[in-house]
Amino acid sequence: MSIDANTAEQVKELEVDKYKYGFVTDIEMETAPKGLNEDIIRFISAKKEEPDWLLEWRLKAYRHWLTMEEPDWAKVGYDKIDYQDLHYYAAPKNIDRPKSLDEVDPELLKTYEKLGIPLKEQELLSGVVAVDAVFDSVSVATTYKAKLTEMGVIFCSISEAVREYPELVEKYIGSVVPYADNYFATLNSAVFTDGSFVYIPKGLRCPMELSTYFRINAENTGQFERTLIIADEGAYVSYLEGCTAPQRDENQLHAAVVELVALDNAEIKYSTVQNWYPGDENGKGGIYNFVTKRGACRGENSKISWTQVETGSAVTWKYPSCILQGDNSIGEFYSVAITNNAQQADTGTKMIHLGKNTRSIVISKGISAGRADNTYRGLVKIMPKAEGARNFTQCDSLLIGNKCGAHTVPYIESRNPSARVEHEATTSKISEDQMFYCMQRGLSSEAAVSLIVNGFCKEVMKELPMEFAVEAQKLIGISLEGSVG
Amino acid sequence: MNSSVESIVPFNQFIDSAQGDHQHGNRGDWLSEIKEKGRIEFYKLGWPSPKFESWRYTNLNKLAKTQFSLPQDMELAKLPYQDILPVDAPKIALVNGKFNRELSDLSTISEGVLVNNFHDMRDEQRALFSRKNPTALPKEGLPVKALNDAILSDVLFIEIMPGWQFDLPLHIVSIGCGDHVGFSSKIFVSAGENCHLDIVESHAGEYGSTYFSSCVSNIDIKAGARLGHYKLQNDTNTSTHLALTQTSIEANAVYDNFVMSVGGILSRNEVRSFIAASGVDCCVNGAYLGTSNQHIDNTTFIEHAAEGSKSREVYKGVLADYAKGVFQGKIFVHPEAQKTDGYQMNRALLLSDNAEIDSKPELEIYADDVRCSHGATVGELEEEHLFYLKARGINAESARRLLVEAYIGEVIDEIKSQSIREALSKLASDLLKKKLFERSNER
Repeated sequence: MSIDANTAEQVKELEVDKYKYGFVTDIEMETAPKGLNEDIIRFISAKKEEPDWLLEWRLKAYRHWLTMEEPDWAKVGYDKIDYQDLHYYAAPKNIDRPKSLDEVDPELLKTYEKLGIPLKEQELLSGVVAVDAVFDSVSVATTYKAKLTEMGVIFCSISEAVREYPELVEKYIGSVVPYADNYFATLNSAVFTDGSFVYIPKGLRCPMELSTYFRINAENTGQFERTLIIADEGAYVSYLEGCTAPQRDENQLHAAVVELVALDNAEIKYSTVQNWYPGDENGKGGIYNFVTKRGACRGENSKISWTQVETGSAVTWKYPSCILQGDNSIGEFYSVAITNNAQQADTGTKMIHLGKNTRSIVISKGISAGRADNTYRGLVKIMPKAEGARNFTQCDSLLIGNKCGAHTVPYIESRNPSARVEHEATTSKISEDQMFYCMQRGLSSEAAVSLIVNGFCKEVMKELPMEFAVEAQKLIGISLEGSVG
Repeated sequence: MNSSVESIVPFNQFIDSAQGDHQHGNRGDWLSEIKEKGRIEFYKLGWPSPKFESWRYTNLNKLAKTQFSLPQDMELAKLPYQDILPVDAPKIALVNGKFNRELSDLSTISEGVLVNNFHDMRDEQRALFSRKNPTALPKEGLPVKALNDAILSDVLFIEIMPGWQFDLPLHIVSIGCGDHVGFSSKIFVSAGENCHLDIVESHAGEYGSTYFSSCVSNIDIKAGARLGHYKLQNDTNTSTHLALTQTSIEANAVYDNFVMSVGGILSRNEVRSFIAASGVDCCVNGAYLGTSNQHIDNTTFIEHAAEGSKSREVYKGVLADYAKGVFQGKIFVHPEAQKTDGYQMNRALLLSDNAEIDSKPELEIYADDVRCSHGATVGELEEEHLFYLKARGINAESARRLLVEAYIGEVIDEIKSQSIREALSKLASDLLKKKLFERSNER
């Protein structure tokens, strides 16, 4: 199966309406001047009416960031980012945190409708999903708040959390991803503008899926959101995250930080469908997605599960990780990463086993088409005290076309003899036989590839909550359109 | 780190002392040139520190602080036979990297194999030094090669004439002797079309010696040739061994490589195989046994640059006490290398609480019609297996020994040459006994 002229044409045809989220919302914005310095950080902090400790923390991060160098170990190449040429704050005007959805700018509501994210509660999927919508730098609406508050669940923007629940935020922020963690996380710590905050009280099983929808709209802005989720003893929460951005010629930076904390017997399930604008077929434009996601299984028997479907972004650099501190805690990572055209993805996970009988499972499916590069990079580390720890890792790569690359870079470090670590990986292509079998049953080559790829990813897709699974499946089809002839 | 400290590369006094060492007339000028180039390259690359990705698990800080001097011409009465591989074969002896005619035994060598060293090398052999190996190497370069050139004192050339096939292997015995001496050995092997030979390297030291050895082998295998290349690294327990083997393989050739690492306080064996044409069958296997506070690093790089070749790689290690094992393996498939069949497996057995393994099996693939897989496992002996044996009346100690022997035996079985397989298997069993099982009785 090779790319021929026919394919090239198909790709061209598809190009026009391929990224359906590529529109721009015309809305009055308030932006900070371009550039990054201590004044900008003070400006952001003032805008958010933050307490002094948080401003100090931001400044500490900024000063540390100045001493750091941008990492270059990932298998991705991109033009240098000019950090002084970005707006670090952009917010739709007139949104002093609306009391109800009626006060939200209708333009914004329209945007989210267009994206297929209903913010009007009555339109929500029979009331099982609560949404926090983040537009550029700020959270614009959170649905189902009252119902959740009644049960003791805190689900709001992180700015609001800083005002309303400062002691919780102060206790946990930076406790999983310290401000000096890495280049992009440190930058985020200095300039983060918003994000979601979730606290699930002891013993509560959160009855609905919580969801955040991120949208980059404005030009020349970086998006730096910070999400903090805490599941107290015995709590459970399933959290969904989705992202889109307009189609633009320049690259935009997205450097987010997500911190999860699971205490004794708690469980957090974090699912992402990442569909930032990937750039055009020549690799022009698109989002740089440099994200630090980490969860700490602090308590015994706690569990953190990451599921991600990565189809967007020009460059992805992302390693959702689990620190398994509590005895018997469990970390899971399920990932599908699809790269097409000139996209580059370097993604994977880190499983750090500290406690006794900790277990982790890693299932990664990488699909590479066009001229894309797709790398799995993962670390499994067994510390000396992790008696009886267990890890299983499986990485499969699928190559479509002979101009793309698929790479597997696992690091295994074991310091305990009773630990068992297994890793396996395969790389293959869609076989002629599989295609023939599908096509002689009347499927077009596109449909056949979509079917085969969905089968290839099934182990991961079944981990996604239902609401996301449908969308993700369609997304896989769209992402690979035009990749076979 | 202070930049003025950083700018001084460790070993600089040692390397500089090697530069003035010419005494060979016009050949000496040529040697000086090689050394000078190596020195400049080494200073440019810098000391291999963990900030280089390929050195992240092997820390040479302690080595950097150790003082070494160039070996004086030493008299060595006889080879340490108990530490080298017991094979019946013609022998080439290298003492501190220099060819030693008295200890060599070339009486049974065939006329189809030419052996030369620095003193009787030919012009075309010299040219081999400037040849670049085609490769998509990681950007950090090869400090071991540069260091090897910088302190070079002799070179060994082995040429196998096209079409010649030999049953008898050729044994290269490299012995280090002296107190804190540093030396390099360099071997060029050229295997002509359709020839067959098995080469065995034994690296050991005179009892009580402490040395640093840098061993570089460059191997060129022409179309249709079959070359077995087996190595035993059994240096003295205070010595350091840094080795690099670079092989280039032509169409339909067979390369069978096996490295057994058991000696030294710190050793690194880097094997780089470049598959230049189709129909190649390339095996890169190895076993290692680490006890006390040994550090054993096996780094391999298999590069498929042409269509339709096969590579197979199995490494197995046993680590006890405070030993640390490192395995880094990479299969690199170029876009042209369609229909590549690549397999890589790394297993490590940890036998004590303080043993440690760092494993990094990598795939980098740019061709779509390939079959590549790799796997890695880390763990201790299976309780169930032990129970199975104990239930049959075998005591715990013997059961463990049996299992560990079988574990290592599995990879030794991959060796294509029967005589060497048997010799290594015998040696492995003796070593396991000596290093792992019988020592507890001695105490």
